[in-house]
Amino acid sequence: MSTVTTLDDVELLKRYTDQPARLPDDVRRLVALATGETQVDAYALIDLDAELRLCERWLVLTPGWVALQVPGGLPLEARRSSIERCSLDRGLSCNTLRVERRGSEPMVARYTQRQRSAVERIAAALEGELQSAGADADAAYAAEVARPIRHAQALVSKSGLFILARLLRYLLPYRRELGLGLGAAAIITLCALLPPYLTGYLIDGVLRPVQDGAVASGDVALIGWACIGAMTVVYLLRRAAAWVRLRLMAVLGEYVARDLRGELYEHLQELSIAFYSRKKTGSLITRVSSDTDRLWDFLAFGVVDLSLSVVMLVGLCAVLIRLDPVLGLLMALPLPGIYFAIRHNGKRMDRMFQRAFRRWSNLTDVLSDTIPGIRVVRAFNQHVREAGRFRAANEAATADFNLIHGVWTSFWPGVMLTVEISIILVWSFALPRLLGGELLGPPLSLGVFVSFLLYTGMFMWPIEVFGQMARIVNRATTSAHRVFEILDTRPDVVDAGDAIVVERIEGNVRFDDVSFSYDEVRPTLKHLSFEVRAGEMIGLVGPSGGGKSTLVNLITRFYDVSGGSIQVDGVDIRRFAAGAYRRHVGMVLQDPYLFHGSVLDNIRYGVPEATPAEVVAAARVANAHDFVCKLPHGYDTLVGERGHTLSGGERQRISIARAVLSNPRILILDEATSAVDTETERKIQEAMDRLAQGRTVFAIAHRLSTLRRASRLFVIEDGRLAEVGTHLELMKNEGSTYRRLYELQQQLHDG
Amino acid sequence: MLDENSIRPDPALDALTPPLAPEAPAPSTLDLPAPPVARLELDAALRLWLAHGGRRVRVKPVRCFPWSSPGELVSLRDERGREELLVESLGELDAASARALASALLDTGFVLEVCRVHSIEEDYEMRIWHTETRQGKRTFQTKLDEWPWAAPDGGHLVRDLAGDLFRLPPLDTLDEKTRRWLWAYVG
Repeated sequence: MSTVTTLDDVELLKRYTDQPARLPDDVRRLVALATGETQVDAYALIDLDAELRLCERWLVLTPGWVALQVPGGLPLEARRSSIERCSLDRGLSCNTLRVERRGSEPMVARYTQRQRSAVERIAAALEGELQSAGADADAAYAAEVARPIRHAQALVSKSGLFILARLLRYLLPYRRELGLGLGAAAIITLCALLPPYLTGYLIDGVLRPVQDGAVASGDVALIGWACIGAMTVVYLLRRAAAWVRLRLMAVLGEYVARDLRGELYEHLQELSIAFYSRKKTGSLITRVSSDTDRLWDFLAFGVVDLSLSVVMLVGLCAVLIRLDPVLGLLMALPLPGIYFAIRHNGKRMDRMFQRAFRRWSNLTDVLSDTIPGIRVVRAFNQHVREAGRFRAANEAATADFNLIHGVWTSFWPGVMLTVEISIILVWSFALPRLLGGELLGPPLSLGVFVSFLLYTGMFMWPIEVFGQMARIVNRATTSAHRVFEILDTRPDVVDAGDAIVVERIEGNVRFDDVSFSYDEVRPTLKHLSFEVRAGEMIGLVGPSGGGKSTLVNLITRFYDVSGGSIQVDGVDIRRFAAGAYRRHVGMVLQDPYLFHGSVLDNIRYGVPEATPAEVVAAARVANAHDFVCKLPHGYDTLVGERGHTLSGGERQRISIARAVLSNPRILILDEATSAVDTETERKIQEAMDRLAQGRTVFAIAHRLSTLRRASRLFVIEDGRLAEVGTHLELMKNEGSTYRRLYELQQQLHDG
Repeated sequence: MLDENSIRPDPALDALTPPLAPEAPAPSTLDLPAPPVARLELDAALRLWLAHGGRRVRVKPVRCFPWSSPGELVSLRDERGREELLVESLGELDAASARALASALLDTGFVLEVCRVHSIEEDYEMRIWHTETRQGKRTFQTKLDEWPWAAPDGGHLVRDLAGDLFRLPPLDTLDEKTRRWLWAYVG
């Protein structure tokens, strides 16, 4: 199932922003007039003027020119060949682009963060660094501006109804249960309408005639008992139907929630690393757990309650008006008012809850600040101040919740009073007629009136459900949207139709003019070319943010390159089935991740069929066997959530054992020894040296001394391969970045 | 003219001086070191230049306390992000330098200032604010869990999805309708 009704970027801009969704035609004409070129390569809105007021001007890039719209005149334009430099200054909400031109004043444009990506795309093009030049300018502009919205809600359906319809489609496999549940619900409604009617009949047809002496009690006793018997049957039927309905719908809701959870989790496993870096872990967990649970609630009860309340309300109005049109209308007239009052009150309560939850969140913030940081609080003797902070947050939250209690406790008695006033009015109109008067209508029988009163008591429930309907549907569509948003997200790394399921690789890696950008604007890696032979160990060094981790992420195919290609054994890795390829690539990370389970489970995570002897052999290679044997349950010891019962060094050695067992041909070591003490580092280093033997290794380390065994060192700086060589070769070069970094570290070490 | 006591170079760690002789006064260990003479100016491209110690470098001003003390302690940083100078107070610069710095700070410290809220709606995963700012009309979006946070000046700040900051002035300076809209989110 997929949503085909999602908004594109242009529609997103139209719906959510007040800026044009594309370059206005008159600006295009002006630019063409000024530059003589009609083709537009890229453009961006410049939304701040010189006085920092919001405005609408355009920065337009053509094949040969860049033009900046000037208020009330032709654009200020510059030949691209005359541009010496572009600089960008970032502020809180005002950024500045300066285009420096030969022989002229610089072109200066100020813009808010919303326009930043679109402007920087142009700056990148002017600097010759744009990865995807030549893309559709309109689409690129809309994509850049809409990206934050797109990231907040990956896919936006045009209408809540589409989402609801899509959600209801999940009921289709259970249509039999759904039909039975709805049938049972209809029986409940009908059964609810019968007893008041039978009561009225009993009064008018049996009791009154007997009391008036019109018939002998023996003549109608059977009818009376038949009515009581019928009521018994109706009540039993109603309870049975209620049981069927509750049971079936609750179970059906669970099945649908299970299906959604399963589909969602399996899809999450397919999604790219880029997706996980955009979304918070908590939000994803909530979608799989709370959102599907909320949908269970809606499907199990909401759908039936809503449809039942409609049937019940229509049925009640029909019956009341049929019983007595005047009294029926009297009872029905306040209903729209009550409905709108409940709805209005619901909205008001939503706002109040919003404020109260915000205050509640302030209170939990104090807790999550101070309980983990209790040592600092004590050390700086700030417990009195923290107690005061908590008291203030506590008081504020309590005040807001009390405000909510004040509103609902006065609202519902008010609604009930309105209903009761209607009943008094009904009595006031009915009494003269019950006494035989005809001023307000024909005489009214007691039985009809009692039936009427019993029916009026049934009005409140459907009205209440109706009043909450918008809220119930809204909550369900919100949860469904959050679930479908994930289901509709496509992985960035997708296998080709004829992907090669690679069985074995040698480990020869070749980068051929590789460029990569996370946002398709700012390049993180720029035109990298190198070749690594199988079995070589490559040390990746350079300043933070230079692109080392990105490089290894490309080798593992967590991302696909933006330009050029990466080949393994001469084959572009995009031709490999990603899952099969990754079996040949192992990783040991700075912060090793262990799963909740035993040491054994964690070591053989990648190779579940490994024998105990193979596990021990891998642990020996990883220098883990000795400490594992000292654990109370050996390899069967549970390591706790994320391995919290083990030290950092122990976790690292288990992760190395895991890599040893999976026997990858290409190995990535990413700062694997940076967070441990010297002795542990020695053990880990030994383990990694053994692990690295015979494999192609890419090792990132800030501690350069750990890379001295590397066959070659690659210095990655500002996304480029700045230096290549062995330790000795690079140290011989006096001006090299590597030598400077190495000497700095030596000084620190000696100092 | 520049007051030498008003502009301070990078407060290096050596400012945390060793214990002084008993007869010496006991200055705070966090006193800033004495500044060199410096001059600031904006060029035609509105870039800020710092001339001091015989050098002229392009700098970017960064307010150390943009909300609690916006007029004090401005760090001037070169293009690689290194601090060239710490200006203790704008008021102590010579008039031309202070003007240049104030002008540059307008850009870097600029945030949109909301003066009226027309409505706040909730959509999937985000809240949509239809507002009138001092700079013009603006509709922006915030995440549902992004609440305005209190600024030391009595107002509030909220960041939209694109990263733009919006300042909400103290509630009592706003009209009744705006206050009603903000009630759930501020205070």
